[in-house]
Amino acid sequence: MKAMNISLPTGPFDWAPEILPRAEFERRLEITRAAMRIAGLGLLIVHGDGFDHGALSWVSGFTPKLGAAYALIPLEGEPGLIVSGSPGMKPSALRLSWIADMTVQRDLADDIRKWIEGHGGLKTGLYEGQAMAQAAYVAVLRGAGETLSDMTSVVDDLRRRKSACEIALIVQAGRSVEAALAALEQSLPRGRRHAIIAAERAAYAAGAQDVRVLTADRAGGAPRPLDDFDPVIMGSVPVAVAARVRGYWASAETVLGDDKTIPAREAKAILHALATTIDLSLTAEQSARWSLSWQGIGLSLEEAPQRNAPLRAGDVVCARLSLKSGSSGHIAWTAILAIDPKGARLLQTA
Amino acid sequence: MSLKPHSLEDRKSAIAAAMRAVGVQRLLLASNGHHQIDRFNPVQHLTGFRAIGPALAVLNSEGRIYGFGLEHDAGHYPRSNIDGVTCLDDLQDIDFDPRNAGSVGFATLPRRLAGALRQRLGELPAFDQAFYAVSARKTDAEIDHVRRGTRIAELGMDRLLEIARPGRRECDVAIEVNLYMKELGANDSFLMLNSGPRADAVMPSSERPIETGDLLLCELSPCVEGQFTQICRTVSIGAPSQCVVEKYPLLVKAMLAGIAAAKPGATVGDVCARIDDDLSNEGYAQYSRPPFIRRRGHGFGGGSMAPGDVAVDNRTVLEPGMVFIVHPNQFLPETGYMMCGETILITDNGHEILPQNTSRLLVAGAAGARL
Repeated sequence: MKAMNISLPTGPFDWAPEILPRAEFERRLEITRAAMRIAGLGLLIVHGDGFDHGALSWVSGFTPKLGAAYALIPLEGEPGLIVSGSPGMKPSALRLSWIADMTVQRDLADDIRKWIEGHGGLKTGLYEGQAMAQAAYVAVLRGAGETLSDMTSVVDDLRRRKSACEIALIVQAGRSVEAALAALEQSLPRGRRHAIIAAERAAYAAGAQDVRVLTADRAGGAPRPLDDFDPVIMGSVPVAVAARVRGYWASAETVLGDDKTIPAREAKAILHALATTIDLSLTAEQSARWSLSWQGIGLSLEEAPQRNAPLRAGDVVCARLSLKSGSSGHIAWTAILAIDPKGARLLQTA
Repeated sequence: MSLKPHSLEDRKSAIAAAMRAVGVQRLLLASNGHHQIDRFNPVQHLTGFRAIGPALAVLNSEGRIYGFGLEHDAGHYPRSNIDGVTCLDDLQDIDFDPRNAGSVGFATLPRRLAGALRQRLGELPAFDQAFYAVSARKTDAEIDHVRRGTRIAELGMDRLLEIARPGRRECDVAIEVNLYMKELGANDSFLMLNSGPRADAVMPSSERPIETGDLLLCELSPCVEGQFTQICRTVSIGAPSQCVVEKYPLLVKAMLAGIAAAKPGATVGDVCARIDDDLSNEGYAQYSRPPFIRRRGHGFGGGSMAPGDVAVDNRTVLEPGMVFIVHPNQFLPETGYMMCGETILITDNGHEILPQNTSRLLVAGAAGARL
C-alpha cells in the first residue's frame, strides 16, 4: 500500500525498551555485523528520512522527524547516530533511540569523517543509499573517503525474518487498522472528511502512533488521501488504511459496505484459504477472475520480500487480491500473513 | 489591503517567459513526494497537485503542462491546470526530449530514480533558481488557503489551551490538536510541541507528561490545499513566573518591529535586522546569533519557499503576494527558549498580519485562563 507522507509525525515515538528491548537490537546488530564481516566492512552507514526509514529504524529504533538521519554501525563498539535538527532539539531526538552516541548534523561529510576517525578509520558500506538524494550521497561518500559498498539487498534480506516481538507489534498495528476501518464504515455516510478523521481517531485510541486513511469518492474509484473534495459517500467504496505501532505497520485495503456482495465473500474466502499455504497460489479458476500479489510489510509499508518474490519462513507479507474485471474499477482486499515453515498464519484481514 | 490578482496561469506564463528568454524549450519538474513544510515542490507549485509518491511534470515554453505519475496518482492530476497526464509503470520510462531542456527539483529525487532518469535523458541543466525567482508570489487561491489555514491554526491553539494540562503527554495533546485542525479543513500539519521548565528549542512532541510550571512551546502549521501557514505561541502551564511575564513582551515587541519593516522593496534581511537590533537594545545581542538563533522566520514549502529564511544575509527583495512567518523565537538566559510568531502577507503597500490575534503569553492547565 502507498500512503501520502505527512510533514511531521506527532504520535508516541519514544523508544520503549519494555516493548522493543535492547536485546532485540543487539540481535539485529549481531547478524548485521556477521554480514559486514563477510563483506570485509568495518562500518555500515544506514540512511533514513521522513519518507523512508524502515532500515534506519531496524538498527536504531529511530524515526527521523526533521530530515535525514544516519546510523553508523561499527564492527565492534557502540553505534552512533547523526540526526537533523538544531542542537537545541537533541533532547527530543535522544528519546527516540537506544543509541546514545548522537551527533546533530552540521556538515554531513565532516560529521561522518570525524566519527570514522574517532573509530580508527574503517572500510565502509551503505544501507538504503538509493533512497538518498544525490547531494547527501556525495556528502556521505566524501565523509567515508572511499567507494561505498551497497549493502542494501544483504541487510534487507536479514530483516525478512521477523521476531516474535516484531510480529506482536504488527498484530497490534492490525488492531488499530481494524478499529479505523470500523469507524470509517460507520462514519462514511456523514462525508469523507468526517469519516477519515473518525477513523484516525479510532486508530490512535487503539494504540497507533501514526495512521493513514485513504478513501475513494465513488464505487470503483482509487483510494486517495484527504483533500477538500468532500461528498457524502453513498454505497460501497474502496478504502485503504495503514497504522503503525512502535514503528511497525499493518495495512488493509477493502471495500466498505460490501459484505454481502459475491466478490467480497469470494475474496475473503480466498484470503483465508491462503492462510494455510506457504506458496500463496491461486487455482486456475480463481486466477481467471482474480490477481494475487504480495509484498513484505513491517517497519516499512513496502519492504522485502519484494512484490511477488518467493516466500520463506519468517516473512510477513501483505497479500492483495484484486478483481481482474476492468469495468469494476479499483476493487481489492488484503490480508497480512506470517509465513511459517509449514504454512502461513493470518495476522490481520480487513 | 490591496493586492493585484494573480493566478496559476500567470505563474505559468512568467516561468514560460523566463524559459524562452534563455532558449529553454521544456522543463522536467520533479517532486519526491515528501511534502515538507520547508522544501520546494515544483510539481505542486505549477499544478497544485500533491502526489502520493514521486511525480514528474513537463512544462514547455508555450506554457503547456504534461504530468507523469504512477498508477495511484496519474488519474488525479487536476485537469484544469494540466494539458495531459500519462500513467507510467515506472517514472524512469518517461518520454521526454532532453534537447534544449532544463530541470527543476531534480536534486531532491531519490538516487534510484534520479540515476535512472539521468541515464535515460543525460544531465539536464538545473533551472531551479530562475523558476522560483519569477514565481515567488502566491496566487489568489493560495492566499485564500493560507488565510484559512491561519484561522485554523488559531482555533487549533484555542483547542490546545482547553486540553493541555498536567499529566497529559505532549504527543497526546499534539494528536488531538492535529485531528481538530483536520476537522476544520487542514489536510496535513507540521506541529511542533514540547514542554518543560526550561527548553533550548522547540521540538517535536515526545511522550513526556506535561507538568505544572512548564512552558509549552508550540509551532502550529496546518496545511490547507497544499499551503502551509504557521503561528508560534508560548503557553505557561499554571501561573507563569514573574520573570516570564516580564520577558515575554520583549519578544512580541521585537517581532512587531521586524514586521514593521516588511514591505515591497525591503529585503528579508531588513526584517531580521530589525528584530536583532530590538533584542540587542534590550541586552540580548549575544543571544541573537548562532547557536542560539539561526533564522527569525521562513517561507513555506509545498510549492515555493519564497522569500526564504528570515536571516540577516538574505537579500531577497520582498514582493507583493509573498507569504512568510516572522518568529523571533528567542532563547533568553532568564527564561530559556520562548516562542512568538505570525504569518504575514506582503501587500502592494506594506504587509498584512494574517492571524486575528497576535502573540501573547498564554496560560493553560491549573490557571486555565489567558493573561
